[in-house]
Amino acid sequence: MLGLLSVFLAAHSYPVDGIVVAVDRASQTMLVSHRPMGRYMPAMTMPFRVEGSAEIQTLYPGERVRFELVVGRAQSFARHIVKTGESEIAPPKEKLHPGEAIGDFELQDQRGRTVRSAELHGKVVAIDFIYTRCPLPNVCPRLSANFAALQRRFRGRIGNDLLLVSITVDPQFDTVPVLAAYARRWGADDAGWLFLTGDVAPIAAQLGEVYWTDEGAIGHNSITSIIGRDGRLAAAVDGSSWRLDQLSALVERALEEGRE
Amino acid sequence: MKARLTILVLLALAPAVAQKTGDNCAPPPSALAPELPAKLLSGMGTVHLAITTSSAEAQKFFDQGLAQMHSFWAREAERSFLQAAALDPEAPMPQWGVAIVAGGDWRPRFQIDTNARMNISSVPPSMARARAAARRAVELTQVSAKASDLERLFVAAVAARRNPEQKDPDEAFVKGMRALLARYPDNIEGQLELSLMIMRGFSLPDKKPNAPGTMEAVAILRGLLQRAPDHPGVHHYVIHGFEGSTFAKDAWPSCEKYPQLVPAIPHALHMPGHIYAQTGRWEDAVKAFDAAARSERVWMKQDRLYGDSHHGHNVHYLATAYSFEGEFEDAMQAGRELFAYPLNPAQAAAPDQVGGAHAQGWFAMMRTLVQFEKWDAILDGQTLPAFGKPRQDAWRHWARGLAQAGKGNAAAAQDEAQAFETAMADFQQQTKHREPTELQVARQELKGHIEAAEGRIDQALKSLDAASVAERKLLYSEPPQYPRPVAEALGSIAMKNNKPAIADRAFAIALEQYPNDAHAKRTTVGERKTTAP
Repeated sequence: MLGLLSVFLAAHSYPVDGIVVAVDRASQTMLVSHRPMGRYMPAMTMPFRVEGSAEIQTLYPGERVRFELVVGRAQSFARHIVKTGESEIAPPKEKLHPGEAIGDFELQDQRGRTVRSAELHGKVVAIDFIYTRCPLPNVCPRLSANFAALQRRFRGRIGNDLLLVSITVDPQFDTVPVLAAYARRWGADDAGWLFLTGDVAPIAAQLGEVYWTDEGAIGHNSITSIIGRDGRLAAAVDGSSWRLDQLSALVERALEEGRE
Repeated sequence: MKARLTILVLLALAPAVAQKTGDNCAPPPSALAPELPAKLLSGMGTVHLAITTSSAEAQKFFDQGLAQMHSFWAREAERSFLQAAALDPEAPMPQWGVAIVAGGDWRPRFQIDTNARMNISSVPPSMARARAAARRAVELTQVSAKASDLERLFVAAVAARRNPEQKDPDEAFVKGMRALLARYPDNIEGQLELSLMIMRGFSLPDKKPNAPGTMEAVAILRGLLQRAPDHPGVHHYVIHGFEGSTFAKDAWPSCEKYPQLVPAIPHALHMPGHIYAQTGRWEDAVKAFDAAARSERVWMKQDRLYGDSHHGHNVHYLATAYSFEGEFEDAMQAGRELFAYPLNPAQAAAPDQVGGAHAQGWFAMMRTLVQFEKWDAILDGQTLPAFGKPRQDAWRHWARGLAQAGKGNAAAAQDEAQAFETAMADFQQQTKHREPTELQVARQELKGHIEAAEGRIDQALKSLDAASVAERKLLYSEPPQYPRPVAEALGSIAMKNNKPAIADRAFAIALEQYPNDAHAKRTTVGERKTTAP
């Protein structure tokens, strides 16, 4: 007892801000891609043991969290985990939970080719939602810039076992030629980064994307989803203010999962 | 955490936020650049300003854009100007037009002042287009053969307003227009544009000019009525320039003329209602707002990006006019129509919401129920449903407090006053804003009603009188910020407690505020009938 007390007396604690990459409930551990912790630790992806069993039960990959990291002489652990998701916008009732399979869809890509959900199976797929005339630099252009960076970072795997998919929330305006021009603007590899239009509402609802029109504008939240090779939702990140390395960590994790 | 929206959401919803906070009398510019092609439309009003262009078609679209701009139809005006620019990319004036209308501030200066005083000024996402167009216009005017001297002056004024480094962009624009008029003193467009940007409105409750510019604008507009009697902008700006003044009736001829000149723009059909309402012509106000609503519903159906905030403002005012006219069912029906518009997801997630059709419909129903003293309906929990946001929670508990007090249930009214305070604290906690001034007046008024229910009549009349004074000093807005004049309630309670002198004075105040207010008129006449020999 005295020994345990001395551990805590010598302990330091650090606030941590990161995105959950994976959750292992059996070992009560979460893998987190976190921002720098002051001078203690630079940004990186690392596992943290979670104090108590309750806090880990409701965590899923992609969630943004803040917690306190307690570092003692003999052990360290995370506690006081708070989810700090970005949007208060209510999710659609059709929104999938992690582990659930995405439904069938049939959409058109920037080459005018019909893309069916079945074609995506066997590959890891990162899906975001954009619209080409979005006037807000911190939203759609930022999401597309991040996908362009992912395309560079995973060169060699893109088109083979990783696909990037950007689905428009403005399908009436974003026709195939409009998407083709947008894809060229971002230097998209047509085989590995698909821009999809058509009846997007069902897949948007499944992935938690909410969008609407109002006063000459299209409003939307921004959900980026990672679909595993098994066609099931592996992770979902809310917003566009995540760091590229955090999304990369989620993609890498999904690529590792189910590797043969 | 509930109240926190991230930068992402705020940015993604910037148009909705602007709409939430500002008044919606002038429809906002489109966040997204309007799509082309534009069409030449009928019913926009006829305006002509000869511009330097190689294309007769570009001149036509420019003139249409100018006419639409003068009716504050920013989105369609920009579309027309963009079409003119597409037809003649070298012409500077279509760029000038985009620079004016995409900024979201082509509206009476007193509305800009009010938004600043209420800390609800915002820069719309379309401002980037306005600034880019201003830069392009300047470039084009620098090519000597491509612009007249007059055009250079027009462009210089808007370029000053769109310069992000400018400390006082509105005054820089005014200075630019004065420079233009120094060189071209008879230029009608120049005079018109100057008048809009110097009209600072009138104060409440004394209806005095807020600044010298107010009366200078009035003088300019009176002159233009003679010189350009068929210019739609002249009549539109007369209505704005005279509203809230002691001489608002002088705008009646323009109220007749303006919708005749511009029969297809909802705002042109709507605006005469402002003057009719404040001069006691409630039936004509109803006709104006109803005509605007019919027109606007057609446009809303045709354009999925149209939005509902201007319709919300117009039909809210329609409900208010019906209510002052004494038409309970019509007022409630107008409120219900708006309330049926859903909140969009951003509005639903925001801690405060006042500008959309849904919120305006709720407020219209609430103000109607209170003005008609429908205490049972207010208390039934169905007719005035809970809105789910603290601002409306406060208003709802205020209305319920009035209802309980009106039925003689002082203790239950006290409970509602407590709930009102909780909602006010929630409002501040969730929005990080100070208490809205009009709700502070509501607090004062509720106190008076509770005192009356407790039988402390003299104190009640004092409290209500103080609330009435505070209510009459609220910032000018249309429809009025406060649900109905406190003087109506003061008169009603005084009359019930056999204080006819106080009642007469109170009803006279209400009628001065709102001529022909059926609730003040009816009570005075009705009570006199019972007391007359």
